[in-house]
This record gives sequence, C-alpha cells and structure tokens, in this order.
Amino acid sequence: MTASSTPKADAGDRAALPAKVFAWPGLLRIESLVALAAIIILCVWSITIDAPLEEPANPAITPNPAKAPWYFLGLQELLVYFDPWIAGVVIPGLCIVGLMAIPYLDVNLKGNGYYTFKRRAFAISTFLFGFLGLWIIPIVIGVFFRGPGWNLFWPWEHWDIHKVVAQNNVNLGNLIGIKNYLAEAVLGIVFLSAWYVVPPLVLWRKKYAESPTLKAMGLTRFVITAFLFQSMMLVPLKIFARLVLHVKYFLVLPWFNV
Amino acid sequence: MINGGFKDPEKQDFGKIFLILGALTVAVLGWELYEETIGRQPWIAYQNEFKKIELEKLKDELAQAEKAFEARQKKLAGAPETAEPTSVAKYRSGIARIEEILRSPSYRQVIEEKERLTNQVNELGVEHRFIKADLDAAYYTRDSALENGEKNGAAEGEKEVISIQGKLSENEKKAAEVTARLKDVTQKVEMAESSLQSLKSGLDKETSQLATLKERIAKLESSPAAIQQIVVTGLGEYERVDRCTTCHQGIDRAEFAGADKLVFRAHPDHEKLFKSHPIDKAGCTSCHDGQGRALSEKEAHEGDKHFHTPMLKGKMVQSSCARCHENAPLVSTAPVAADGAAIFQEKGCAACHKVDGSPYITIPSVKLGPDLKAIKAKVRPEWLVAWIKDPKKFDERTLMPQFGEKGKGLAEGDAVALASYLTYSSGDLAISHDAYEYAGKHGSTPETVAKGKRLFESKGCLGCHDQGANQASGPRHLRLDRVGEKVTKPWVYSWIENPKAMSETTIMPRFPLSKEEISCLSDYLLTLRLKDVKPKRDVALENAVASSDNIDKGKSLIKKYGCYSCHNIPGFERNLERIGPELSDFAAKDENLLFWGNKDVVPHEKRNWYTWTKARLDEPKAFETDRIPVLMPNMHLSPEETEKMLVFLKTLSSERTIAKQHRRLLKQGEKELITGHQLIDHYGCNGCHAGYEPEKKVLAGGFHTEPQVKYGKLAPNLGPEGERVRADWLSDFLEAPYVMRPYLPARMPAFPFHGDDKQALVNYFRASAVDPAPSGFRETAVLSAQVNAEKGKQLLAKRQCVTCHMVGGKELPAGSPVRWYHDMNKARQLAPDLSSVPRKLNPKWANRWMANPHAIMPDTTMPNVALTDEESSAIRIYLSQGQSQKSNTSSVK
Repeated sequence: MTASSTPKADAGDRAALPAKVFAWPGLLRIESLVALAAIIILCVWSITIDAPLEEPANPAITPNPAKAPWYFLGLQELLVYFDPWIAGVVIPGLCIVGLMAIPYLDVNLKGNGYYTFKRRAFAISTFLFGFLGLWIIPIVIGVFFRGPGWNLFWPWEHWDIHKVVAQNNVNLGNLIGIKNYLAEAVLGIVFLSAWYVVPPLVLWRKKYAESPTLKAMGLTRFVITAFLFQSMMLVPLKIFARLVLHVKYFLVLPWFNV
Repeated sequence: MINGGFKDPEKQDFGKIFLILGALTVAVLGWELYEETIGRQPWIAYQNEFKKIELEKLKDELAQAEKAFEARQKKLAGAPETAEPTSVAKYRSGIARIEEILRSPSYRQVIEEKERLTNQVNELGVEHRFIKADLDAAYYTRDSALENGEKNGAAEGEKEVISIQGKLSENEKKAAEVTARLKDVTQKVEMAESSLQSLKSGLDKETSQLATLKERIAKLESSPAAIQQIVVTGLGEYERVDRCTTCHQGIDRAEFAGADKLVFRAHPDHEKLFKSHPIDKAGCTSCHDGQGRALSEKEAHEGDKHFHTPMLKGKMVQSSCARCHENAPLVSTAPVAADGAAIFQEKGCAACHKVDGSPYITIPSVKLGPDLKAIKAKVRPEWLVAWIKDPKKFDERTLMPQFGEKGKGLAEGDAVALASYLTYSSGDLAISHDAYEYAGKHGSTPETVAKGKRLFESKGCLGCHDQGANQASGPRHLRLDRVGEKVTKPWVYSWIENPKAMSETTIMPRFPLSKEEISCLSDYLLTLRLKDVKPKRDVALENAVASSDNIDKGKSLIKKYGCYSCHNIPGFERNLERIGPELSDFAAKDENLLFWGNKDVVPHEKRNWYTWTKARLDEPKAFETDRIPVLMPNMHLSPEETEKMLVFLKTLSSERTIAKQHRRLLKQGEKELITGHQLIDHYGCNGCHAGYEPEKKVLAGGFHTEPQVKYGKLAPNLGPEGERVRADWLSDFLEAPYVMRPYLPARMPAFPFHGDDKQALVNYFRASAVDPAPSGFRETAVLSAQVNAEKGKQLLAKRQCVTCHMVGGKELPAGSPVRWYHDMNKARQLAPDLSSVPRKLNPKWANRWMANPHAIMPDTTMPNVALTDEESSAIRIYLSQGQSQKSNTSSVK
C-alpha cells in the first residue's frame, strides 16, 4: 500500500497517513459489513422479484417485444440508434479496446492506494458516465421501459400491443434542406470529422501550456484518448439527435451509415 | 477525507451498523423461511386440511366399526354355544386354553416322545442301510465262492446271508413299529397346533376390519405433505405434468362427492369419465387446460400474462372433447357444445365464416335464406324496405339477423338502396295460371277461410309454422301470423302448390292438396295479419326504389354486407368470397389478436377471449370505429344461447397435437348419425314425427304407448324406423310419399331435398338401427324350400289378415266367414295396405312383429297372431309374388 514514486504535488496529502495499516480490522471488518448488506439486498430481491420465466418457447409465435437477456439489453437499445454493424460490433469493440488501453493512456498516478476524486475527476467521471450512463441505464430502459413494438412505455402504462408511434426520422442533410446525395455525404463526413477533430484540437491548443497532465500525456496518448472519448460521446449525441431532432443518420454512405 | 480525515480503523466503532445489518439479516432469513414453507406453498395448507377431513372420516368410521364390533361381540356372547367359537372373547379363551395345554408337562412329554421317536426312526434307518451293505457284501462272498467251486465257502456264505437277512427283517419290523408310534404322536401335536391356528385366524378375521382402519389411520397420520403429480404423455409435443391432485385430493373418490369445500369435491362426472379417461393417465389439463405445474390456485387456474390457456371452468370444459373426439357431437357429457354448434348452424354463421376441421359443423348443401330471384312478385317495396331495415320488428323470431346498430337497424337510405337493387334484379316469377284463376274466380269467403283454417290445422302445416306467438309447436317456429300483410293470393297459391319452383333454397315440402284446398288455404293465410295494419302505397318510396342511383348503391351494399351468403340474388351467382373472417382457429386467438374498437366496450383489465366474444355476439357494432367497419349483423342471441355459443366457439382450434392413439376416431355409422341429426333439425322432421329428441340428439326407440294429443306428433314415431324399414324403400318413399295410413288426416309431404340430403337421411336411419335390414336382401334366397307362396296365401286367409288389410287396394277372398267388424271400411282404413310389405319392411323386424306385435307396440289394434318366422316369410313371399306379377318391380325380384 505504499507508493514509492509519488509525485511531489501529492506528498503533502500522504504525509498524514500511516505507512501501513492491517487488513484486519482495517479492510475485512468493512468487507464483512458490506457482505451482510449484499446478502440482505439479494435475499429481498429474490423473494420479491421472481425469475422472469415466460411461456414455453413456441416456434410459431414470436413474442412481442422480443427481448435479449437483460445483460444484453443495453446493446439492444443501441440498435435503436445505430445500424447493427455499428451498434453490435464497432461500439462494443471500441469499448473493449478502450478499456484495455486505459493503463497505457493513464499517466496520472494520483490516487494509487487511496481514494481521490478531486485529482482524478476526468478519469472517474468518464468511467462512471460510460458505465452508468451508457451501459446500466440503457439496460434499465430496455428492461422496464421498452414494450411491444419496441415502443417506449412508462412503467404505469398498459403495454398496448397495437400502439402506433410515428417515427418520421430524416437524415442530417435533409434536416437542413440538402437534397443532393453527394452533398449530404460530404456534409456527413465534414460533421463527423469536426466532431472528432475540433474539440480535441481546441483543448490541446488552449490548455497545453498550463496543463501538466497534457504535457505528461504527450500528443500520441492525447490523440488516442480524444478519439475514444469522442467515440463514446457520439452515442449520447446520436440519442439526443434522434429523440429531439428526429435525425436518422449523420452520415449516409453506400457501405455504412452513422 | 484524506487530509486529516484519516481514522485509525482499530479505533472505529461499527457496532451499531453491525447490529442493524445483523438484525436485518436474521429478519430476512426468517422471511425467507416463511416463504419457503408457507408463503409459497399454499398447497401444504390444503393437504393438511384434507388430511384432517380424511382423518375425521376414518376415525368416525373406526368409531362406528368399534361400536358395531362391540354390539356383535355382545350378541355373540349371549348366543348359545356352538361347536366353533364366534365371539372374540371366545376365540381368546379358546386360544388361551390351547396355549395352556401346550405349556402343560403332559404335552411336553408328548413333544419329547415325538423327538425321541424321530431320533429312533433315523437311527433305525442308518442301521437299515448298514445291514443292507453287509448283506450285499455277504452275497458277493457267497457268489464268488460258488463261482470258484469252493463248496465250504459257499455254504458258509449262505449261512451268513441268511443270518443277515434275519437281521434286516428284524430291523424293518422295528422301524415299522416305531414309525407307527411316531405317526400317532405327530398327529396329536399337529391337531393341537392346527386348532390353535384356526382359532387365531378366526380371531384375525373378527378383528381385521378394525385393524385395517387403525393401520390406515396410523399411515395417514404419519404421512408428510407431498406434491402429487400425474405425468400426461402423448397429448402434445412434450410431456405434461399435472399437479392439480396435490390440492384436489378427493377428485376421484366417490366418498367426497358431497364435500363442503369445492377444492376437495369429487369430479361431478368422475364415475362416467374416469373409467374411459383414467385420471392417472389423462390428467386434468388435457381437458381443463390451466397451468398443470403450478401449485398455487391463481397460477394454476388463471396463469399469468405469459400463460395463454387459463383453466376451462364449468360448461366451458365441454369444448375440449373435440380435441380428441371426432364424434364430439355424440358425446353425451358435452351437450352444451353440441347445442352451441346447433345454434351456429341454425343462425347460418357458417354462411359468412369459414370453419374447417370442426366435427360439429357440416356445411349445408343449400343457402339458408329464401331465394330472392323473384322477390318483386312476392312483396311490396314498402314491406321490403321495412323488413331489410329491421326484420325483427316484423317477426322477432326470424333467422334473418338485424344489420346496423342494435335496436335501430339499417339506415333508411341503405335499406331503400338494397330494396332497389333486389327489385331491379328480380325476374318475373312463373306464377301458375291456376293461381290467377283461383284468385280471380274464387273470392275469399268466410267458408273458404274456415276451410283453409281446418286444413292448416290438420294437414301438418303446424309442424313447422304457427299463426302466432303462443301457438308454437314445431321446431322451426316459422311464424305466419302476419303473412297477410306481406304477400298476395296468387303468390301464396303458387307457393303452396310447388314451393321449390318459387325458391330453389326452400325446405318447404309439397303437400298433396287439391286446387280447391290450396285456394282455401291461401284465403285463410291472407287473413293472418295484425288488425290495425293496412298496406298503404308510398309513392315517394316506390320512386326512390326505382331510381338508378339506388340500384348501383344497392348492388355495392349487397357485396359489402354479403347478402348473397344466405340468399340467391341475381348478379351474385358466382362463388363469391365468404364475407366474414375464418373461424377455424378462433379459440386460439388471445386478446391481442382480437380487435377491441375504441369504445372501451370491455375495460383493459377484463379483456380476454371470453369477454370479447360475449360482447361481440351481444352487439357487433360496438366494436366499429370510423376507420374499421363492422359488417356482422346482430344475431339476437339470448344470454343462454350466447353461453352455448361460447362453449362451441371455444372448440374451434386447428391445433391437433394429440397423438393419434389418444384420439377417438369416428366409428362406422357415427358420421351418418351426426349428419342425420343435423338434417332432422334442418328439415324439421320432428315437427310432426315423435321419437327424435333434439336436446339429447338421440332417436328414442320404441313406439309411443299413448296417443300424442299435441298436434304435430301424430305422424309415426321415427325411433324404430331404421329397424323397421328397408333403405331402398325409405329412399323411394322420401322421394315420392304415398298414402300409407288412410286414417291419419295429415300426409307425409314431398320434401325438396338438397344435395345428398335424402341419401344422408336414409343412411342415418340405417345407422341408427341396432339390427337393420341387410342390404340387397332377397326374401326367397334366405328361405328354405318348403316355404312357399301357396302357404302364404292360405295363411293370409286363415289368420284373418284380409279382414282388416287390403292388398294392392283389393280385397282378397276371405278363408273364413267370420267377420270381426261391423263396418268393414273402418277397419280397412285402420290397417295399412299389405302390398308394400315385402319392399318396405326389414324381414327381421317383420318376423318379430308377426310373432308378437304387442311386444313392440303395446297399444296397437293388431291382434296377436303369433306367427312363426317361417309363416311370416311365406306371407311375404306370397305378397312379393303378387306384386311382381302386377308391376314387375325390380327391387323384389
């Protein structure tokens, strides 16, 4: 639990701490309490909510809504906003690659062996946003809010199998009045390129001089981190654009659509 | 927290949190334990309750048995001594006495003696074997000495042999003596033991009932609550498990037929049903549906949102028979489903809805409604418009349904348009010349009307028609009380004269009436009208009906509403599509596949198949929206009829997953019975004939024994018809009926049978008979040579047959001068003409009749002639010869 190469800025914090603490009672006592709490929660959960077993499968009848197992419902939710290839392969692939890359991208050693939010605000918020906001919440939406026809229902609403919702979505180009296919594609490429390039560039230009973190990262790490971050933020951007502006695709190409 | 917020974990106190969490854990574990044992196991309470009831029953039984036992013992104790003991006390004392004897020293001596003797016998046996070995050795020594010529040795040997033989006989003698003594002793011991045994078994017998009861009680008391299940195989793609009997423990036990609680009550039909459907194989859900695996009432009976086959309760379960039974309409335990099917057939639902694969439904060979090809000649436009608008207003019993909204009927404009097309397309009807002549020449007078009324009431019209609401008699109840408002005399005349010429679809038969009779009948019918209604002409309406716009609109409306489904309409001759949705798989539709409209006819939480179907049958228009029209008319079903229809509609499933060996296929003749019942309903045979019971769908055998005072049942009982007559004769008779019993005022009319209906009826009667006439039967081929026609002729005369019967309309010479009746003609009217007997009657039945007519028909006026089978055959041969000489009919050759 010691850190041999502590950056200087952190030294003041660490001075007050003992060099070592015992696992018992320091860790195990709290762990046992957490275990009790977990047992209570799991017991109450299992008593009050039955396993979601449905009718025996009938090959002649497709259930409506046809839902994936609950742990995949976040991915299934992405299918509403992206094409299957993007939602099912590219985005999960980037998630895994990004998670694997963290040790190589993260040069901030603060918080090793102890907890600090203040000095790891970006890392922690980004992870929590990705995990809670883009993984857990879509699962909750998929389980409790998606009904027949994959329409959204409030929990107190009757799941009307005949519910009709108009989904008149248009592409980004159409939205601003461009009817030409090629022009639309160019606009899409420009928009996506800007999304990936402009915010990181501005950040790098403005903050490089005063930010020791950026300096420590170097350009290569920064570019990779920025790409992964912007990819992640593309998901809420698309959700917002779809739900509020009724945008179908940002970019339409013969090979793929985003 | 880090800066100065650090606390030494050893000094931190988590006691309170630990206490709270620990207490919560214990509480949650307690909750879990409760759920595991009681909360989620409601069946255990049922089992314990049932056990209590059963134990009470058994204990009552035990108490009674004990009482009876004691009374019996008391009675037996007081009874005089017999050689054999009877009461338990006597058995016991007997046993004690014998046991006492067995323990006594003298008996012990006997036992010892037996042991001693047994040993002795054994010892003697060993000795016997040894002596014999010695003897064999001695023989050898002697014989080898003889062989070698040693005389001394031989003589010595001979001596030795003789001495050993002496020893042997001594041994045998002793052994015989000892064995005899042993036998004596053994007998004594056995006697003692067997008498003890018989006493003990007698005691057991006397106390066994009590012992068994006690054993059952002990077993029941120690048995733990346990889930019981039946594995049902072969009824679907997978094995089903029914755990219903876990709670319904008394389901197959007669002694629980009257249990207070429904859950423990025996199945109401268990005696009848479980014999052919053993519960341990068929289970419960094969008929009742529901979730067999579930162990709580709600889940088992109603299921949840993922379970689409809730339990079929009450009469609804009758809809299950058709799953396996191809003979479902004949299943006596499911009458409601068959009734529902009959309503479905009668109301003509199948005209608009396709129904495939239902054993209950036969597609009728003709359209249900009257032919509209010449409607112009039949009714006035004013009447037609009013009728189309709301037929129930004119006749609330008509089968014609009411289109449009309930109570309001079709919109006036639509009705006018429909009438307009019907009038436009209507052809000229060939109203017979006689009709106009009679309409013109013979005006209606009170005399003709009175005569017409008499005819109406005596000729059999009342079998199907009635003149008013309170005089219903026939099965069809076709009202004629307002017919005078509707039609004209030439039309009525032509109609009665030959209905089929006026409407191809009619089932109205042609009656043998004279022209004058038809005219009188028409006069009478035209007087049938409500007094205050006078037909008026409405010129504006007539103009509207004639307008070409309305003609086009009418045509498209006929197409829209599918009027052609029930009526023949010119311009719609081609096979047009059925207007309604197919119902072959209707029972399987769940609430999501049914359209509920937007009027909230049934609230969301109550929506299911039953509520939809009920509401739909009650008022189809309630489901209409501005975008989805509902064309189905209101069928005006009573609540009871709706209930029956629900049961029938629930049978309509195309799901046939039942393995073939579990299905009850049609047996020979059953198809004919099913079709026949429907045809009898359709043609209304039971309007005049007794014997058919429409509720039970059976032909009751035997003749009626008392005169049927109610009109319409004066025609012969149809019950024994299949037994009595031959198929070819019946077929001819249905085609062209002739006068059989002159004394009856009503005549069998000639029905316009459609399609194969006539043959189907003939087949029906044949199938209904236990012992029908053999097909292709020839009288002469069966009879022995000594039976001949001459003998028959003599018998006819000798047995006075010809006193009452005529043959071929002629009087035969009587063999005896004795005349029984003062008025010969009266007698002849009573008895049928004999000429048709050989063709008509089943010879087996005829033989039985001639042997003893009163055994078949107790109130017949036919005397008991007691002819032998041969004699009656001879008469039939004579009669058949007479006929073939006269007319050379091929059927008797």
